[in-house]
Amino acid sequence: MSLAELLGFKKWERGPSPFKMTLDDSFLYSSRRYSNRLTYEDLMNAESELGKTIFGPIPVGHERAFFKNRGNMWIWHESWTDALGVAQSTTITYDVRPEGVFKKVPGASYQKIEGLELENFVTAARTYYGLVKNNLYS
Amino acid sequence: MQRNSSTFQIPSFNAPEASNSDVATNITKTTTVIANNVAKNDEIEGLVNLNIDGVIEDGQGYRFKYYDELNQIAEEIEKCRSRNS
Repeated sequence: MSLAELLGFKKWERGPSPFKMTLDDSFLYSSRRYSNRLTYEDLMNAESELGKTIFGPIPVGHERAFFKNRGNMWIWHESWTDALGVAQSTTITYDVRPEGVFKKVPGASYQKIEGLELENFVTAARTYYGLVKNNLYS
Repeated sequence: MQRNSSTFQIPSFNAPEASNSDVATNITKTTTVIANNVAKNDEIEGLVNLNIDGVIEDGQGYRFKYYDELNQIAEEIEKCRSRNS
């Protein structure tokens, strides 16, 4: 079975996806590609569907993405609509360098993370790798 | 919900974020769009290839304790993507 089929790209032809974790159906059906060949971006999106589950339940109305971008950079994105109906979002970039992990928030400079935040990030990366390896690339 | 982005941190695991009052959003972004926006913002802010204050390149091959592990994870994920795309 191809990876595309595992991801449910032909779900309507072959029945329920055998994918081990329940992916958001909107992701499966919104893909523009229905061929067996996935792009690098398709895989990154699939990884993010797994990555966003790492941090527990997502608050109602929130959209979350957590994924490894190209190279050694990780991205956490969250968007929501506040009580006034205004769309809000934040995108945090984590750049892994030999000197440490540097966090970047929009409009601010890079900041080296340390202590518990660093430990949490490392745990997130380990968990992410385990999830994608066992559920997407196994 | 108000957030101070400068103090925004990755949350503790399995700790749901507070806020049941938020209105559902229709915003759906793909990782590609998010990544492109990050690159665009970095370009605007002139932060590409940034020299980070306080980091000393001592030429001794210094690596912080998790670097090798994180680098290996990144490389393995890239290999998986390459094999499957």
